[in-house]
Amino acid sequence: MTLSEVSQKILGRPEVVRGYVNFMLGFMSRGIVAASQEDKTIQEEVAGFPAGFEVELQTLPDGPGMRLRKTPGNELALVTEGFWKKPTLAIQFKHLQHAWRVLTFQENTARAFANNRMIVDGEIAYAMRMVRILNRFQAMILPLPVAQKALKRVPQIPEEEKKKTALAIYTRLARNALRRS
Amino acid sequence: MSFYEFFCPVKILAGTSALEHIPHELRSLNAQRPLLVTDEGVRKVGLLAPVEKALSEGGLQFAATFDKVPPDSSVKVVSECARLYRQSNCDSIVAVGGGSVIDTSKAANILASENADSLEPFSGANALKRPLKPFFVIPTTAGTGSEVTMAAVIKDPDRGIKLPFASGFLLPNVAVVDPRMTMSLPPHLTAATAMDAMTHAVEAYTCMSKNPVSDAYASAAIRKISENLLHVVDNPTDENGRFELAQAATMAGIAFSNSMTGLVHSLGHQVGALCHVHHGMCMSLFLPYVLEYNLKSAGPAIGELLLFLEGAEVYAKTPAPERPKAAIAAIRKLRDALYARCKIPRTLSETGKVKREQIPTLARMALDDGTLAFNPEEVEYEDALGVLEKAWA
Repeated sequence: MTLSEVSQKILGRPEVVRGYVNFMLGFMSRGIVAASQEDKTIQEEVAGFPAGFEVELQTLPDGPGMRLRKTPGNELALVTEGFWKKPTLAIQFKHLQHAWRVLTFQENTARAFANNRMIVDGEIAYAMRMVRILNRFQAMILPLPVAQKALKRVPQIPEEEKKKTALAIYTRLARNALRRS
Repeated sequence: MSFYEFFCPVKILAGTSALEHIPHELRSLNAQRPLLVTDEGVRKVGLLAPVEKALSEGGLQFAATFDKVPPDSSVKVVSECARLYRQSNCDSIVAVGGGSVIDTSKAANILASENADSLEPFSGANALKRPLKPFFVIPTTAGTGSEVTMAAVIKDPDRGIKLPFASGFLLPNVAVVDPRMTMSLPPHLTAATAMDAMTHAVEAYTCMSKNPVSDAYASAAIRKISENLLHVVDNPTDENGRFELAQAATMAGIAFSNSMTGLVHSLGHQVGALCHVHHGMCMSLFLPYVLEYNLKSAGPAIGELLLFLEGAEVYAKTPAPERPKAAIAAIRKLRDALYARCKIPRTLSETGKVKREQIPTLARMALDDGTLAFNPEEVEYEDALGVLEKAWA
């Protein structure tokens, strides 16, 4: 059975798809938070957002999703309340299946955007900045063959820097998880 | 299997006596008191006369005329325009002009239709939820394609921002492509606006959202521009040639509003904003350098351009692996011919307005431009810098 056939079979079970998308967005949001605490380049990018900036990655019509907020120290933090307020930037998958395709690396984010599977609501310059953060984050934490599927082009990061930062991100991710529990 | 969307509900009236169809089309939309929106330049060259005559002969009059649209419009201008619409009890808008007039009209139509005082709640993607008042566009340049696009940008100088609008409801009901309206365009603007249209078509054909339907519009537009541009620059009074270019601009507009554009626009927008170089000239300038940069990701599509640029004979004689470079060479040849005729710049230094030390700033600014998302090849700071450096000399 090919990967695509497996995917088609799973798509017949929406609760599994929803669970997977929920898990991946949860992992991503916590991973980006950890990356923003460890990686200087990501912090420089976050610094370009205005104070109080919030970004939401959401699956229409009612989730799963995630929301992050810029902190005064130019890091990103998870938002857990105040969802009634419109975020500065919203990136929305039009359908759960579209999120599934991207988060199982069958369709990279750039292709999904070009194929109109996602909507951006907010300042485009902020969206481009957020894409650069996501690209760098994925390049750091994903194994190269997976990163090559997820990205238009894997950013050039020296191997030593990549290993060091990835280790720091995973360590921070674990520490943050322990602190929450 | 890929996926694509294509949308263009604009009725196009094109060719001889196209203006004379307007009264009937207005009535069919139950509109009888149109507001004419234009600028002083259009009025001065006498382009309003045939429009007003066509309307009066058809038994209608403009209820009011707003001719104060500046080259770079603002929320204040839009508010004034909407106020005149209300005061004059208008029921539709007819825009006669270029990009700024058309964008102002689109935004004024929002305020008029929604009976609103502020544009802010309608800014962004898909913020409009219902159809607007009947809206007709008569372009006076053959380049922007705004008559068939669903976007508008309006400056808010007090807050130092530009408000973007994107919605299918912004699309005009009718676009009127009448060769009389572009006859007075001087050769250098004819060349620059046509190269703007050429870039719309080439980027639509080579960028990430390309699809078979937009490819059909883009390829036809490239062919029309290649076959007619130099002839029209040499013979500005040739009505048929003018009409071919005007149609090409509309077709390129339909193509790029569905397939989007890429790095040529990302870089061109910055040079326009920072160094005040004409948009069409920026497009012409960057086109070959960006195609060279995109060869790795979009080589086959760039190779296909040769057929539309140089015709079947040259295409057939050129071995397939050489076609992408031959297509870029054809664009360079066209630019050289335009430079010889009317000094359309081919490099940043030839513009006389860009300073070399501005290149790093331009590269940094380009990374925040939304069109970059649709470029087939990824672009990071060093990549943008590289293309700008190549475009300097």
